[in-house]
Amino acid sequence: MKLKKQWSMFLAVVMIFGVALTACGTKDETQTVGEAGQQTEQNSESAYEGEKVLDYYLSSEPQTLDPQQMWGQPDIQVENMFMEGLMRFGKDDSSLEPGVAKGYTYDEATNTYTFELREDAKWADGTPITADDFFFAWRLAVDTSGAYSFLIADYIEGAADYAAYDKAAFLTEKDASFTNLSEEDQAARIEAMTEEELNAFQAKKDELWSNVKAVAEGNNIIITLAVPAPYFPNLTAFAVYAPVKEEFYNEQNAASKYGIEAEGLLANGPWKIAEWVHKDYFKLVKNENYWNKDNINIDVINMKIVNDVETRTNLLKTGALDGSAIQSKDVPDFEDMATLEQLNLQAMINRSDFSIFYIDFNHFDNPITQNANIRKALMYAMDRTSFVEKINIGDEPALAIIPEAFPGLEKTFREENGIELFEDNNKEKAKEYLAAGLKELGMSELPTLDLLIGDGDIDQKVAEKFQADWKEIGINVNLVPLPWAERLTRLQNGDFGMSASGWGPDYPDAMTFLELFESVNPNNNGKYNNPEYDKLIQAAKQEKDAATRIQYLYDAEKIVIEDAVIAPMYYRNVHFTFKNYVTGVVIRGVGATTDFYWTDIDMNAKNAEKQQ
Amino acid sequence: MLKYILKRLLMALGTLWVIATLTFFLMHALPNDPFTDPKLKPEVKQALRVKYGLDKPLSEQYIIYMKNIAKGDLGTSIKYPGRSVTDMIRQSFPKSFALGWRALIIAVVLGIFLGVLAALNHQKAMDYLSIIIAIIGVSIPSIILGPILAYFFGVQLGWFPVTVDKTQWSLILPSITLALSSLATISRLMRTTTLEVLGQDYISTAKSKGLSKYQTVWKHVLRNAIMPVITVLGPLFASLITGSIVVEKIFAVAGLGEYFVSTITEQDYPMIMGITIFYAALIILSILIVDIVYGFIDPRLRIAGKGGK
Repeated sequence: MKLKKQWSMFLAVVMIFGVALTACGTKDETQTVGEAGQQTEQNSESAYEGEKVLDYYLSSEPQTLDPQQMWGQPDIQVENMFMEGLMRFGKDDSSLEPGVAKGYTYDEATNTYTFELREDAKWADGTPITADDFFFAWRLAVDTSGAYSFLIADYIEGAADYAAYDKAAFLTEKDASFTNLSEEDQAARIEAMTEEELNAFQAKKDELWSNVKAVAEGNNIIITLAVPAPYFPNLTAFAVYAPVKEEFYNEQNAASKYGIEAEGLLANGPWKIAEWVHKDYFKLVKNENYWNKDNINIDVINMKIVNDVETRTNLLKTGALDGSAIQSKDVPDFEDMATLEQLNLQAMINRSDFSIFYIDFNHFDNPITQNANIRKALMYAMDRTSFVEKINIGDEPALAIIPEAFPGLEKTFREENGIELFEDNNKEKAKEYLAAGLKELGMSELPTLDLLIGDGDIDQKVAEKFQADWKEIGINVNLVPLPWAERLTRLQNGDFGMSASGWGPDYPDAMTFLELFESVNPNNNGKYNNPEYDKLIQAAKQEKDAATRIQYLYDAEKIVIEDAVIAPMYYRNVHFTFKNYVTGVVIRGVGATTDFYWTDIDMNAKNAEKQQ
Repeated sequence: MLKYILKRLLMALGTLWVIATLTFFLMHALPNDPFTDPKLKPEVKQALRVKYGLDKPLSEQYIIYMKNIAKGDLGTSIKYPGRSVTDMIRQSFPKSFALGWRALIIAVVLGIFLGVLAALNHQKAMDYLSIIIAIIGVSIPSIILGPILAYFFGVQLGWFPVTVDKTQWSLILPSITLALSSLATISRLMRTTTLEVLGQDYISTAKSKGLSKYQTVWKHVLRNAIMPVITVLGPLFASLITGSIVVEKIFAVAGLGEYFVSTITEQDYPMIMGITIFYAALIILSILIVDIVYGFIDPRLRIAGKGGK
């Protein structure tokens, strides 16, 4: 029954794409189980002439597929399949592949990047992709305050001025007394702008946009940066930098479909979206107008939306998926060779997803956590090694800030600045710090400290482990599970001592972690305020020389640890496994996590397995 | 009858208004707002607040919302920007409904059958079996039963797909999972009321008239004993067809159930309102239908219905 069903689904797929059903059907029907086994041994997949279909999943419904608005992971993953920017994410974490641009050159003297567009880059509707499609998209991102529009506004010369100039700025320019109005009156005044004023405002906006240093010259896009950013070419692979065809956007936006329905998406990437049934599944098919289509092997990607990890494991076991992420709890199970062999799976890929989890301290409104010795006592008492062996199996102990494998200057940041910046689980040292801290505070023992945590089971388990460690050196910690919105309110009000937090990178540079502790950063929950630290971050942001710049970042990271600004807990790892007949899947930490750009699938072997 | 229905519908509107108003102010009493993601920059958050009108005073937001609702506009989701709440409900509801009505039939048919069987075999093996099933049904939550069924029948035996797809076949496991606790409730209720009816004088009369056991059960017992079950059927129907977050998660159903929880944690205001109003309307409607059905089953109520203005 099951086999029949899957088979008929496969046929349906074939039918839809107009491959001669009979030809394909007979070919495979004659292929018995025994034969198939031999075939996979001798014939490569080149013997297979039907569609190559990959069955995968998405962990949740994308919030939006509008590249300029998205910021979540499933969104970015799908975007990377149907869209393409100037550059593409490469096979490893810092490398890049050519995209709509063939490549780029950098002029250090003017801090200018020149991207050469390829002539054969087309939209899925067959029309060519032009430099204007990019400019339109970037302006759109800034105009609509897309979540990642700062990746444009903060980097391209002139874009920050454009972004900052709003109606309020226009009205203030016109009549300085505008700023004296109450907030409500200001809003009312903006609402009441005359047509003439609106036109004048628009004219001024256009003028500011013309000053933005991103221009077309022949086949090139020339971008001058406002700040030094050696990782800038990587940013052009991010969704927010993807092109948008203006005509299509206007049409679909008017129909309220842009970015939210399959028809409202115009692909320029390797695949296009044929079906999007909300919360249910995606069906992507190869984009015949993609410039590099000859090197794309997968014809159809089916992605069922499956939230539940157990359900995903079930689907993997029944063969409904060609691969899946494995949750930490199941890691030992899938490390077992017998299990892998039975399920025809490859050895797991284990890698950092570049998230770090840590304890935030209150640096502004809590005398106890404001004491550096107390913070150090808490930091040194934690036994992270046994934590990743017993609780979060497969994760890595965090003994610094920047996660394992995150790119540095030439090697990984960790290799360059040391794997461990402090010692894990040193209870003796912790006790010394505690004694010193108590002396400074004039206390004989610490009152019970509150630790704010998330309201999930896992949050509780993680916190309980460290709670036990702290108890060993005589610090009593009370766990306070709270929903995120409530936790945030308490963080903002300074109504906390410690809080469990986490962070993942926004762009492939260590700055994305280290700027968190700059005094002005909105995500500096503990409001750590160290002028020396701020100076280092600012120096790094202004420094053109890559080697000098990264030295500032090394120093900054060391300060965070020396000062115990936060107490690192662990770096999260992700675990993936794929069927033996699938090759060339790339799993990465920044950007789209799973990438099938280089993937191939041996359909003979896949079909043979389904026949069994 | 028509007048009665009209009156009830008018009352329903009033009820809906009260529910909508309460929900509106309760959800805004939650700390913070939908834009708490630390990945969003403060300027972006502010722009979003303005976009969704959350920068306006609450009373003004309420008036705007109520005006829109009166026009039939439930607004657009905040979590899924640009998507209209009406569309989101329209897309998800059929998937929950497909499971819900199947679950309801399983629960009602099997529940009534087991309940009556138990009562007729009072304190015999069949009774205990039915009680055991009922206890299992009430005490094993779907979060346990679902994965067990999926693993055993889906992964081990391979009889059913482990998630819902386009086939009818795939709906069986989730429908059973969804039905079990209602089945147990109905069978317990049916057993109690049947036992009660069996002790009535008119049953002895029927028996002494010489009616066979099955005729007695069919004509007299069932018809009288089923009334309380009909009463719970309305709300049960509404709750089954709007889905369950647990069942939908386990079997990857793209239904409505998830929204009842996720929209609140995400503070997706328009979606919270939309889903609450939709659910409330369904409950009110199904209670109304049950009341009308009463009339057909119990002639005494029908007369009262006609007699009352």
